[in-house]
Amino acid sequence: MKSQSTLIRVDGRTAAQSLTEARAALPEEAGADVVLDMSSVSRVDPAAVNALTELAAAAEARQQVATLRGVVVDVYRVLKLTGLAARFRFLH
Amino acid sequence: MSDPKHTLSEERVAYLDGLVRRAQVAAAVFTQYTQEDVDRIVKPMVLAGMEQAQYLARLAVEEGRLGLLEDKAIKNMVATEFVYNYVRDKRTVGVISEHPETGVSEVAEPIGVILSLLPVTNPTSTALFKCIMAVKTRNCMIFSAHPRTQKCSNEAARIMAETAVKHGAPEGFLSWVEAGTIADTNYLMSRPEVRLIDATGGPGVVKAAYSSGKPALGVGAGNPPVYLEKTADLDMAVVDIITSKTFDNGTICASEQTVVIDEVIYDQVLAKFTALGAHVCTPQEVALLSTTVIDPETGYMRAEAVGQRAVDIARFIGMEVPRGTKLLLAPIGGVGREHPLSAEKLFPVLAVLKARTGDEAIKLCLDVSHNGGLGHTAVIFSNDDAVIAKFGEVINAGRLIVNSPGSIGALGGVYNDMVPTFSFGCGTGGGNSTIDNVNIYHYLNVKRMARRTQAHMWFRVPNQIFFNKNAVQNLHEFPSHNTVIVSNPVLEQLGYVDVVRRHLGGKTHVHVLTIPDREPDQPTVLEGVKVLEAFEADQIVALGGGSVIDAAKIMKLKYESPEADLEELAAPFLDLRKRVVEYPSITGKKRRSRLIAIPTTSGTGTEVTPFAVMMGDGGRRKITLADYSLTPDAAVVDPQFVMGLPRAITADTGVDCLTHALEAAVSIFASHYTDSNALQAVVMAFRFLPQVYDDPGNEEARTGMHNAACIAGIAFSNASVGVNHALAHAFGARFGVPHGRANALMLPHVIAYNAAVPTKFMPSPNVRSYKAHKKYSWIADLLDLGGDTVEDKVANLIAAVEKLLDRVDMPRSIAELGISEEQFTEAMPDLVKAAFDDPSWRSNPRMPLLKELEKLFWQAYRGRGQEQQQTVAKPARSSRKRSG
Repeated sequence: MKSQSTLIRVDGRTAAQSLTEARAALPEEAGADVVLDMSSVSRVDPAAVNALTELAAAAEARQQVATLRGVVVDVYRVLKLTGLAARFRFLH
Repeated sequence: MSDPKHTLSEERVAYLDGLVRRAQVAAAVFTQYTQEDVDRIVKPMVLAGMEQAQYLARLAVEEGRLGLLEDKAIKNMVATEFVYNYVRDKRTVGVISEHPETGVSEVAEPIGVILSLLPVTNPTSTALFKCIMAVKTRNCMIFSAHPRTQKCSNEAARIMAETAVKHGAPEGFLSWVEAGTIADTNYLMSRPEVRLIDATGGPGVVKAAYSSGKPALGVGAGNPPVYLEKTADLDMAVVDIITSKTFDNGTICASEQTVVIDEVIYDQVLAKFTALGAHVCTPQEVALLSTTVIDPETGYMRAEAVGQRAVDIARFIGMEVPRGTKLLLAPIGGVGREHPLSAEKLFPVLAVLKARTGDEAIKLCLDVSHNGGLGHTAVIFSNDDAVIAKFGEVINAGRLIVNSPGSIGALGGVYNDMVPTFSFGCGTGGGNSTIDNVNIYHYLNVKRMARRTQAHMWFRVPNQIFFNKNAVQNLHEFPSHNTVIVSNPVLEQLGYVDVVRRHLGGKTHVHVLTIPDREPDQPTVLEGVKVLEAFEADQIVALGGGSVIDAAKIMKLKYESPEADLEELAAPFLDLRKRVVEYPSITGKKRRSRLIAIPTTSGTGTEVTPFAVMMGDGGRRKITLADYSLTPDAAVVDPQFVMGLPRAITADTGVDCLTHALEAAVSIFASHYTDSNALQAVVMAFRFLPQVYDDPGNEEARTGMHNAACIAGIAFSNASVGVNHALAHAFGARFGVPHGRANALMLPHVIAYNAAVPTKFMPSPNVRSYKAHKKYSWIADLLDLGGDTVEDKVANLIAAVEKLLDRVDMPRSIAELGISEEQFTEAMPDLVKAAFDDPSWRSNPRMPLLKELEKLFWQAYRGRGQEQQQTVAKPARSSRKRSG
């Protein structure tokens, strides 16, 4: 991981909103490293999944691959089932 | 198959993709829900469905223009309340069942996205039922309703979805196609995100579902016959049939379609039907119905007639019937296209057949069932259990309803305890993947988690073992009227038989049977059985070496169970507990005899084992019978009977004893119980065998060796032997070499083989690590052979074994026996096959490959003293304990 990584903490209590805000906070720089700290997210709802989908699309548009850190197993499973896991890197 | 997308507009595809995507996301999110989460959602959904039962029923009747509002309302209540009653306390999340005794637990895995097709006949009730099932199992559903009842179906789904989401279900988990078409359904079926298709509907949709290439649950067409048998409660039967056939105007596919009535009650039954509002059609009326409510082109019922009242059908086709007629009964002459009314009719028209006999009746029911309703439902009214049983046996129907209405009975949970459903699987008869009443378990992938189990073991020995000099005196303690002593001529000449006779009880009648001293064959056994029968033996004393005692064991078996097929009982097996053949039980046997074994060699140990070897296949091969019922009831290990044993036999049988002990020690079935015996026997054999060989008259050594053989027998009775015996059996039989000698030729090579790192491990749940080499090193320690490492100790053990074999003049090589290399090469394929077929190696710690068996044979051919090219397995560093 480059030393210039952008770290964004996702609030587990308002995951969908937090992820939408994270999308807005993505750096403009192409290829920038972005790490999303998901350690407080114990569960996701459809809105959060949709927000992650949009975030992934936004990162891809900037040629960035966002890294998700601290994803719990149950949430990881949701990402696998929705095909989102392939669009992120993971720090377990 | 053409791409289903190409008939749809881009907007439509986007709309459908949106439904699928939302369902997929919701399905993924649903996997996080606990049982408590799910159950918190289901109950309010059920209550909402029940509150709206009448409203939804009205919508269904108004839109579909078929059925009866009141009955549809009841169906909606059954689809909610009764289904909930079944599912409410069922576990459907996480571990759903546990079986501690087997270590297997079942874990639920949701399907994901289910495309659910709804019928026109039961649109709202089926929708309610499936919604509840979907939520209970954490699945998501996309509904595709029948075009004629889309609005009411979708409204039912909407009510369920709103309630569920309000109580925590993920958004998008239930959806429906607005203004859906066949093209929409075909497209959805093709989506990879759709994991299962649940098609409740006509044959067309079911076929489409199964053709989609996806797992599918379908239902089949019904054409249920109902047999009204002469012993039935006729009043109940008539009421039930009318209730069933008119329920929702006959739209439930499990309702009766043709009633078969025993001739002797025929007129009476028709009178009862008439009295309760049925109209028995005249032949002209039957002919009219046949060409109006059934399409003559296809042979199927006309859609316009489905779910209509009897009076309306009659009026529509110009038939006059009494006011208030509920049901039209149409007597017909047979089943098939020439009798159109024998087909399915989802309206209140019931075909009638008369049967002269019960046999004919069931055959007619078979005809009806095969006429487009295989696997669905069949009904019988009878009080004759034998008739009911026969009906159930021959009629292929997933629901066999006895003495109750077919339609409501088949739903389950109302007239019986079947699982409630609105989807009837018809099994392979109906082209379905299930014959069940479709329920929550069809909406789950049930995973099984299997924990390692340790096979329970046993330690079985004869009831009594008497040992040391004059132990034979204990024979007088066994009361007997008629004792047969089985022995061989040599022992009789030596006076041993008389010794035994002297010690039998004073009132015992004694008969002596001598047999040749070789492996018994069937004729010998059968001759012996004749003697036992003639003498009505209640006790058998087997005095002799392994062959005599084995013969006595088999004679006893055959004497007590004359029907026993000895060759069949010798069938191979992998696991004694799972073997195919069953040995005869002694419970309830007319003839029972006690078997006392007195060995005269030291020895095979057969006086305490459950094995018996005989010649089978016309004397061409040795076969082994193995069962604990063969174990003698008592053993007398008295050294006086071996004092005169010739040196050669002393050596052969002594080496056999040592081999038993060594193999039992490293067997995969070895346990703390058998180890104590095996290791003790090894130590005793090393100590006493050289002594008795050098000084045959040494009573102490004879006693020790005789006991060692018995103790080794106890060990291998419970732990079995290994590859050494497999090799020895094959070689000994082929070249006529005594068993002990054959074992001796293999033994040092086998120890080195077992101690080396295996090419293949022998699978066994009781073996947690490879430890044959460690066991050998412990034996070396017990024998005080020295050595610093496991490898050294194993090498020392091999050297000690070789030294012992030399000491008792065992041949060092097969070549030494005068068998040429050419002869041995020619025999090799048969030797390897015979050794691999021998069950003995299956308890070996190292699983032998064919080429390894061949290599062992060649090593034995070339002989001991050759350098071993094996790598002894090294123990783990932390392992210092001896007990395993």
